[in-house]
Parts: sequence; structure tokens; C-alpha cells
Amino acid sequence: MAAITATAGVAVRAPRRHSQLSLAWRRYKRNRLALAGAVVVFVYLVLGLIGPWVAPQNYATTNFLYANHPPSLRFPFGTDNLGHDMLSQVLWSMRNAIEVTFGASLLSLVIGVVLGLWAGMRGGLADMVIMRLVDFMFAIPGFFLSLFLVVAMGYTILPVLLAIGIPGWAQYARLVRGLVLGMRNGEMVEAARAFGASRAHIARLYLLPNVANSVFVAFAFGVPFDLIVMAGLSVVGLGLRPPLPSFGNMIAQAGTNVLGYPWLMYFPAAIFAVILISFLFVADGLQEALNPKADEGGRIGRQRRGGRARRLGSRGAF
Amino acid sequence: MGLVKYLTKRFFAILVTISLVLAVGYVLIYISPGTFYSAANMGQGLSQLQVSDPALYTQYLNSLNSRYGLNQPLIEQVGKYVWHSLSFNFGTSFQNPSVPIVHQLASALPISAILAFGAIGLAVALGVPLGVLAALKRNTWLDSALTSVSMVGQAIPAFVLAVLLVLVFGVWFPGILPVSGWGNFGEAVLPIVALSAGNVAVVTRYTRGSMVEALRQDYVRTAEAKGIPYRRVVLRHALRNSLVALVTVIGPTFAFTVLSTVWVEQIFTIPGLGTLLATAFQNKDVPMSITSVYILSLLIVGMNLVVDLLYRVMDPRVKLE
Amino acid sequence: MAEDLLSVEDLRVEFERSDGTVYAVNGVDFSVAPGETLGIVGESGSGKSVSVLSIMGLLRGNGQVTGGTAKFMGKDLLKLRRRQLEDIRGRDIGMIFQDPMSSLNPTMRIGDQIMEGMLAHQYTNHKGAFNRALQLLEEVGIPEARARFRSYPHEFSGGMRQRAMIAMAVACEPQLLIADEPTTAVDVTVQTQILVLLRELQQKQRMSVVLITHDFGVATNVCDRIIVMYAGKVMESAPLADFLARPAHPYTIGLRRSVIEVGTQAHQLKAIPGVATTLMAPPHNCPFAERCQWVTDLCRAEVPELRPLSDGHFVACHRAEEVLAEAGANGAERAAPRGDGASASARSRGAWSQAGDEATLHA
Repeated sequence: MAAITATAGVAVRAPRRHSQLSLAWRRYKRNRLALAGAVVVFVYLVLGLIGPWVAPQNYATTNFLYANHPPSLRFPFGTDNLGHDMLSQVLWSMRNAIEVTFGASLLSLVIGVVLGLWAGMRGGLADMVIMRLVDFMFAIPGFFLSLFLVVAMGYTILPVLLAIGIPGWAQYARLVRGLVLGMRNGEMVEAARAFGASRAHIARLYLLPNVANSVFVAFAFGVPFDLIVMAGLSVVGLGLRPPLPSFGNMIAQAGTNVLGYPWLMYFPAAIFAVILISFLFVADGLQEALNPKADEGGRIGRQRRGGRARRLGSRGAF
Repeated sequence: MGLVKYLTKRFFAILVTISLVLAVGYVLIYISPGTFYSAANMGQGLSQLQVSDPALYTQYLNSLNSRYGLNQPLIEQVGKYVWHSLSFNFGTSFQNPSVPIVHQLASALPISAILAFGAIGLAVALGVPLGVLAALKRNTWLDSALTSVSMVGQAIPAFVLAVLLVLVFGVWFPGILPVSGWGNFGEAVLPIVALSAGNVAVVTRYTRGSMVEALRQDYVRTAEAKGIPYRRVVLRHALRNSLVALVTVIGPTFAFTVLSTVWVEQIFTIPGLGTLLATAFQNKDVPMSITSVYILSLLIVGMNLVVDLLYRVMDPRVKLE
Repeated sequence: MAEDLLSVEDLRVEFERSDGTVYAVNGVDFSVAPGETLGIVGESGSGKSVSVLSIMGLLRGNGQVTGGTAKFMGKDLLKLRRRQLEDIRGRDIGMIFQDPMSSLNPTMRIGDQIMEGMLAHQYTNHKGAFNRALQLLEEVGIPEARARFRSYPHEFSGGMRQRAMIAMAVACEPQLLIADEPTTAVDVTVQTQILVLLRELQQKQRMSVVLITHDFGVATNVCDRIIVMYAGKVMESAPLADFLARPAHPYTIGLRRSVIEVGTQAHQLKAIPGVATTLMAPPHNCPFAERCQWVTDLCRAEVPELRPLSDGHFVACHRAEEVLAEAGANGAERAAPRGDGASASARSRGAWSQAGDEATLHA
């Protein structure tokens, strides 16, 4: 959400961007999958915000009289072996997932953009050191660093957020540095400089809008990725510790419970999958709408081709 | 640059990367709350001992501390740890002090390697033909079907798919394929399928994209103008050049697959490296957790080197640097 | 006409685009006699490349032949199955493309690319193909053929790449060689060398050549007959001598006035006003009408047919006679210094002679 307001802010500062944004929106609207994804993501965000209030039970409430109860009117999603109402668990999981993934992605973004700008604008030693670090982070999955960070910091919301967010910066740093370098040497900036524009002016007028678009797209891909990482931490037993509910825990436990109590798997796994797919559709749509050039050369552009591989494999590596 | 010089350079780069992984891991665990042994198996025994026989406890603690070098300054500990790991001298784990870590690795690593390489192999074997098919039939229903399916396949992480497969083959159609354990061929099928589905999607989409681009190239037209049979034009000219691009995507894909084996092994209860890693981290088994990350990293970094060399072999224009 | 090697009649090609149908070729006729060199001249987008590509079945994407015939040795190329066409391509008709960098497979050794066609057509066995590839490399002027055989395209210079392309195209001794802007992407000096090489090969293998170029100089240097195309139609078709002495189409005259030669002063140049058009509908009038200084109401109302002006000289202009009388002589003026005296007779001796002389100088 925060990122969306950020782009709106850009539009206010540079009125010229209005037409570009509406152009982007028109491009986005044409992509039906992206529209559908946006609806799902919106519902997810709303449910995550109001979930704790509408949930029938607190996430920690147990009811042993109704342990492992199949879905019924009283427990639409059934209950688990401790008698947790799964619907409440799912709603609370959404809340936790939103807090952790948006927080983590935002953290990665801030670190990455700052370091990327620094490296790109300053050059020299700063650039070299930062880029060596980026190379290092890209060499090995960031998940491994997350593991160590979780162990070092703990298993509640904030530590998990930090553990996921800290290793994710390299992606943004590399992106921003590349854009800055490309634009610093680009004709547009050269022309502006020839007209006597100041450094700050150039940065504000030319650099930021361009960087903002690309960073926003990266963020849109980053959130679902962090969702996967967050669940992945739970799968190896290092995510949010019960009683804090999370999709990862529910899915990991469903793996062992599925033989007797399959409903424990149906709802969390299905909802989790739908959310992920929707996020990806949205991110894809945004990419097409905001970075149409990245899509040259066929319907699958350079960045989207193997997009997940690059993003998930080496993004934010350790 | 000569091959030997290149390999030497890469070797040292890998050495630095891996050393950094080890050092960061060690320091992070060192500063984590609790004593080194508090969470591991022996932690319980030790804390009981602390109450019942403080003298013996101190004695144990001292000998453990000196065994793991904990009585030295941090920087020295890190240096020694990194050096020992790099020379494959892992010592013993906290959980299982009587079995050297090397022995545990010897049984776990092949399992994870089979899973990861099997998944990548399957992905290439399926994804490349599907991608070629989609590119040749582009903008038909087949193309859109393949593209949509692979888009969904890309979005679903392996562990969700793994749970789904457990549901299908454990609950709906039991008895066809085993849904847990390790030891025979059948038990490898579902994990590899779960791992490779996303990769098949990646490879399909990537192959489609680069094939569409390649088929548009002038050299494909030249080949056609020479009267080369279309099959060969597609395979030898278009696909051969697309594969160059595909190779570059194998590296990151493999890295993510290695990561996914950690997850999938949990779901299918497979005693691979991922399970070693998960148990080690859960119990704060310091040597084992760092070592398992180290070995997995080595696998990824090694594969990246292989991919880079392969890229060099496949595209004569690329110079090693 | 029966002895023509290739004879194209009423060829039509359309492209489907998101903004409508592009009428790229609108009823083109031409023919190539054995041993003849035909030049097809026109601006980019005039449909000259598209015409030959469509004959070869090499149209890309959404281009489609919508009418016409292309008889080659008695067979209509436009009606052949893919397999039959593959047999002819490379075997009976060789082709050279504009950009020798992008037209060569970057991951395949030059020698293998030369051998490939011979093997596909079972022109000879593997050993024979290898030997012929070496011989071809030498023939097209690539030194150290044996070492170069194993090179990749990126290790070649632009001129060498084009030479390799030529070796590839003539490997199976085709009867017809289609050269699509073969000298556009190379340096001027290399350009001459390539033209000389083409001529040598033509004489040696007794091929016919179709040379597509936007460069009038190149065309008049090497061709026996020249066709001028505009908006997918043939504007004028004439033997070289007629073409130089009696151009009768305003567009031809305009093109020739646009040629910049050494020593040409800006005031001597006369640019054709406007830009070449892309037809989004079938032509219903003279496509050149809006840029033509001779334009009349008739030109805006009726498509001029390609009609004979004199023996072998065809022109598609309602006012060709007037144009010829009024400006043809004027138009020829610029060519006159080159067209009279000794060089004129040299020119009539053989289309390639001037290029050959230059090459001797270079050698």
C-alpha cells in the first residue's frame, strides 16, 4: 500500500507524469489476468486488515471438544488437532503475512534503493564495494541468510520480517544502480545538463520517475517472493512459532495431517496458491504497463522470460 | 583469457564467497541468544547436569568449549572454523556427537543431489520441447494453453505442490506412488515432480521466448534459403542458438531448485541435506547447520561455474572473463 | 519468353498488420533470362525485397502471397509444397542477404555452414562437400581457407562474411542467384570487390543474377536490365542502354537526379519531394502521382499499366512519351558524361566491365 501512495506522490510532483500514468493504467486494464489478480490482491489486503475483527475466534483459542472437526457450519474450514478454528487461522495468517511480506519487501527496497543510488551516483570505491556485495548476495540464495538471521533474532513477527527483508536488498540495488548509470550517461540527462539543469533538478525530474516505476515493479514481484520465503521458513520449522498462525505452518502441517484430515490442507494451500498467482499476475501486468520497453521481442519480454528463475533463484541472495 | 587462468580466478572468487558464507553464518549464530549448546540435544542433559553436579557440568562445558574452540577470541574462532570447513574438516555435530558430520553428509548429499539434478534434468527434457512447440505454434490455442499453464506453474512454490501431490497420491489415489520416505525409485518420483514443475514452466517460457526471437533472425532465413529441411532449420539453427540463452537461466533456476529440495524433503520426509539442515537449525546445532548451508552453497556455486563454462562452449562469441 | 529462367507475373503480396492490410506488392511482372543480370532498383519499402522473398517462400510473419505466378524452370514456385521448394532453394536458386553479420549463424563454423547446403541437397558426399567448401572459400577470396573453415562468423570482417555468404549461396552451383542488397552493409571498397566477385562467379558458373539494390550506381554498373519499383509496382523496365539513354518514367528520372556522385554540387541535385508511401489499400491511381511533377487528373484517376515503349522497354506512366521527349534527354544528361565516348562502348560490351576495371586497379 505504501508503495502505491509513493507512485501517486510522484504523479503529484511531476504533473507531466499524469498522462503516462493513465497510459500505463490503460495498458494494465487490457490485461485481464492482471485485473483479476488485482481484485484478488485487493480482497486479500482488505481481509488481512479487517480479518482479526471478523475472525470468529482468536488465533490462540483452542477447543479440544472440537479437535480435528471437519468443515461444518460452525467451523467452515474445519479445525485442527488442537481445535483451532481454521477460518480464524487463515484470516490471522493473512494479517501476519501482509505485515511480514510488505514490511520485508519495503525494508529490502529501502536498503537496496539507498545503496543502489549511492553506488550509481558516487561511483568509485563505494560503487565497487557495494557491487561486490551485490555479486555475493546473488551468488547464493538469500534464504540461507534468512535462516541464520531467524536463529539469531527469534520467531515472532518483527524478527521474521527482518530476516526476510535484510537479504533482499541486492536486487533493488542492482536495478537502481543500473538505471542511474544508464541515465547518467543517457542523452536525456546530457541534454538537460546542456540546458544548465542542476544535479538535484535532474535527479528529481528525470531519475526519480524512471527509477520509481522500475522499483515499483520490482516491489510487486518482491512481495509474492517474500511470501514464498516466509512460508518456506515455516516449512523448515523456522518461521513464525505457533500459536502465531501462518500459511507456511498450516501447509507444512497439512503435509503430515493430510492423510486423516485433508481439509487442513484444502483451504490454506488453495488460498495461499491463489494469492501467490494473483500477485504474480499483478506484477506481470505492472511490468507490462510501466515498462513496456522491457517487453520488446515477443509477448514474453527479456525480463519476464525466466523471470521467476532470476527473481526467485538469485534474487536477494546471501 | 586462458582456461587455466579463468578457472584459477573463479576458484578464488568461489573461495571468498564461501568463506564469507561460513563467517557470516558463524557470527550470526554466535551472537544469537542463549549459549551455544542451549537448544541442541545435549542442551537438556547439560542443564540437568548444571543443577545436579555443577563441577562435572563445568568440566564438560570446558572440554566442549575447547573441542569447538569457543574459549578463543571470536575472530580466531571464525578464522579457524572457516579454514576447517574449507578443508572439509567438519568435526562432529552437537546433535549427534559420535558420528562425524562427513558421514552424515555422505548419506544425505547424494539424495539431495539426485533430487535437484533430477528436477533440473526433467525440466529441461520437458520444458525445451514444450517451449519449441509453443514457439512453432505461436498465437494458437496450444501456445496460450502452454503459456498460461506455465505461468501458474511458475507461481506455485514446490512445497505447496508437494502437499498437493501428497493429497492426490495419499488420499485420492493411494497406492500408486509412495508419498513419503526414501530408498527406491518410486519414492523419488513425486518429490522430483514437485521440484521440477516450476522449472518446467520456467524452461518452457524461456525456450518459447528465445525460440520466437531466434526464428525471426536473419540466419534462420539464410538456412531456409539454403534449402535446409525445416526440421533441421528449427533444431540446428533456431534451437541451437536459443539454448545459448537458456543455459544462462539454468544457473538461477538450479539455485532455487536446491533451495526447494530443502522444503520438499520436509514434506516427503526424505533424509537428505535439507532435513539435516532443518533439524540442525531447529536445534541450533551450530556445526551441522553451517555445514549444511555450506554444502548447499557449494553445490550452487559449483553449478554456476559449470553453467558459465557451458555457456562458453555453446556460444563461440563469449569470452571468459 | 519461353526461354526465361524465371518469369514472374502479376505477383501480389499483402501483410496483415494491427492497423490494417499493407499492400506491399501489387502486380509485379519481371523475368530473368539465362545468364542475364537483372537489377531491381527502388527505395526501401518499394517491395523489391518482398517480391523475391515471396517467390522463395521466405516471407516472414504475416506476409502472404495473394496472387500471381512465378515460373522457374517450368514450375510455379508459388504453388510448390514446402518440401519441393526446399529442394529448389539453395540447389537451383541461391540467395545472398544484406547484413552478413546477422545472416550467418553465430554458433556454427563457417565451413559447416557452407557444407550444410551441399549435404542437404546431396550435392556431393561429406568428403566432397568439405573439399568443395575449401575450394569455394579460396574462390571467393578468403585466404588460408583451411584455417578459416573452422572460424566462426564473428571472427570474420564484414567483407569476409559477405564472401562466405556468397560461397554458401553458390555452393550447389545454382542457376539463379538472388542478391538482396549484397553491398549495402559493407564499406565502399569492399562493395566493389564483392561486385567483382559476383561477376566472376556468374561467368564461371553461368548463372543468372537478380540484384536488388537501392543504389543506382551499383545497378547501372553490373546489370543487363533494370527494373524500377515503387509502391509495389514496376514503374519502368528497360535494358541498360535504354535505361541510361532514354528513361521515360518521372520516378526513374527523379531517382537518377537524386544520385550523389563525386563532385556533385548540392544545387545540381534534385530531390524527389515527399516520401515513399505505404499502401494501405490496393492502388486505384498512379502511386507516384502525389510526388510527380507531370501529374494530371488522369494519373489521379487511373492506374497506369506497364506498357511497351520500345522493344524491351516498358514503362508504367500515362505520359511516358511526353516525359521521354521533355525530360528523358535531360534526365539522361547526368548520365551522359559516363554514357558517351569510350566508356559507353565499354559499358555496352558487358555489364560488369567497369566494376572489373576497378577491381584490377584494386588488385
